[in-house]
Amino acid sequence: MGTLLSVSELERFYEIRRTVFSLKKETVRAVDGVSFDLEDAQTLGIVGESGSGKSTLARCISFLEPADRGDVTFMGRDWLRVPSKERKTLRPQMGIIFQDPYSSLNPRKRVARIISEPLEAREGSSQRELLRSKAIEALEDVGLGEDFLDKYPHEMSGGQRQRIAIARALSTRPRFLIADEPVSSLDVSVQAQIINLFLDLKERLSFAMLFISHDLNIVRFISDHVMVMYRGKIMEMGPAEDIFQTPFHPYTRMLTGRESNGDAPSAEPVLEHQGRPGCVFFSRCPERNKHCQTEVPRLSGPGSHRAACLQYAP
Amino acid sequence: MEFLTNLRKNRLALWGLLILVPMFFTAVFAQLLSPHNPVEPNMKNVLAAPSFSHPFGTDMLGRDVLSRVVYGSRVSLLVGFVSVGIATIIGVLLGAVSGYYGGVVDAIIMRFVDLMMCFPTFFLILAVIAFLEPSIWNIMIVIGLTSWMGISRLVRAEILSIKNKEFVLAARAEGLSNARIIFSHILPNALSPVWVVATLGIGGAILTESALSFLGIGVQPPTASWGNLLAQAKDNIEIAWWLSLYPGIAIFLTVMGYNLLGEGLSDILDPRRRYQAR
Repeated sequence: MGTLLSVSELERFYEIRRTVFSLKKETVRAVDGVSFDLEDAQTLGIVGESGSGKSTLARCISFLEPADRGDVTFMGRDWLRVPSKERKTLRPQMGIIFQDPYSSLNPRKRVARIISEPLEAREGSSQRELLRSKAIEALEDVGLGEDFLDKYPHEMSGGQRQRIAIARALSTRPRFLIADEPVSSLDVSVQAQIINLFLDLKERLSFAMLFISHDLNIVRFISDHVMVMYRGKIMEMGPAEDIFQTPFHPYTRMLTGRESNGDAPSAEPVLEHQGRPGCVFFSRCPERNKHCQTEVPRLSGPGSHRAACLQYAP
Repeated sequence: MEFLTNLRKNRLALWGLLILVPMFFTAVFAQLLSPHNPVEPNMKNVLAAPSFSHPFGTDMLGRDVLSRVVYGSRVSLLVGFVSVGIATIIGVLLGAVSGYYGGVVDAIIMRFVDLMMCFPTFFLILAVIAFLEPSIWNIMIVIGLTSWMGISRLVRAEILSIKNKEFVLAARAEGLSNARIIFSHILPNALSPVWVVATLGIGGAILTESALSFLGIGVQPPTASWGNLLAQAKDNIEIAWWLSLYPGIAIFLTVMGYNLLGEGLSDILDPRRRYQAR
């Protein structure tokens, strides 16, 4: 087992105007200095509320969005800077699943086309018979039958659509899968089925996975390691069980429900914090003191379980 | 199939087709349907009022007006389709590139569109045709080249909303080429409103050709087009009303047919309006 994906000091900033007429542009730090490693066949769960930069991180890694700074090493290559030809040959090693199965499948294509498109892009050819048999194989992977091949997305339920999206992402047998909130838009009963499908597929096909969710229980269930993000920064990371047994960071404790939100103000608009020094979590932290307002905490801790909090200084 | 069922339920579109389908037959089978040779003069029988052998009367050279109107439908339908076809191809391509790539490309293309829209189109066409030989092909090309701007704006707007949908992101993540993403994923989802605008545009193009022919710089006699029939008719309008009436009705019906069909299509292709009672 080796390191499959290594992200270091990744940054992605957006410039926005508060209103259409404001002259001053402001910077939103969607991903702000994120570093982590992912081993082969391991699952890293990323947790955080909406706006914490989880999806932006996934999109930068999958090259759907350019990163402003930092490095991503994927299968030993400098992924953000490899020539586009080489990137094309590596693409099939990286699958991605999106949150909303109602918009992630092209409404005008049949399932057979949807699933075989990544294969076609890889092979650069379109041998119908071969593609069709591979599409059937991919459908069987996700527990659907051959009779789905000629269906259109609108003829299927949300759970079935998400299975199709999974089949598409896995049709090239990638070594790495990005799942961006894959169950958030599904019914609770269907969520469980899809999660079990993920576990089953991981066992059979053994791929590494970046699993993004705002639901801690799901992340805990599926992940080997967990990373907690807030405002584009990593608040805490480590082995899943450690994080849930002994969360170091006040934000993690808040998410796990160990600590009531108390009198701390709840979510504030993302912009309010920009440019202020100190800890990004300051305004909502129940354990803040005056150092937190001036000093930026760094990730530190014993072994692999680390947190970015001044209160928790080893 | 669903499209056909909806089409059958839509009264506007049906009325449009009821006018246009016979019009197509007329154009295709003009040779069989016209009772006389449309360009053969008959000096013994000029400006004859409608009668049994000449239902629409004859013109100042004794030619059968019905036959000329029947042959004129070929010109009108051809002009409508070819010029709108040219406009649609240009409009869709420029709109797609503009919307998908954005940034500088978008800015340049859209300023070009603004520029083209600033010209009074009809006078632009007049000026261009004045320098070229007035043939039907030149007219179709010029009408096409001056009427694509609306379509390109429409396509651009559609693409802006589609290009950030997750299925497009998925296609990019699969490593498909930009051309493949545009033509295979985005455009098929963006074209419904284009059919509507193009259909309405055919009516406009037919009117433009008629106007040009009326002014004498369109289709040249002896070839009959509805526009030049009207132009020749105006000299004798006091004594031979049938010369102006029948080509006029033909233009009116055809343009009306395309407008009805276009309105109907916009109901059928827009799922939000599809279920409204009509």
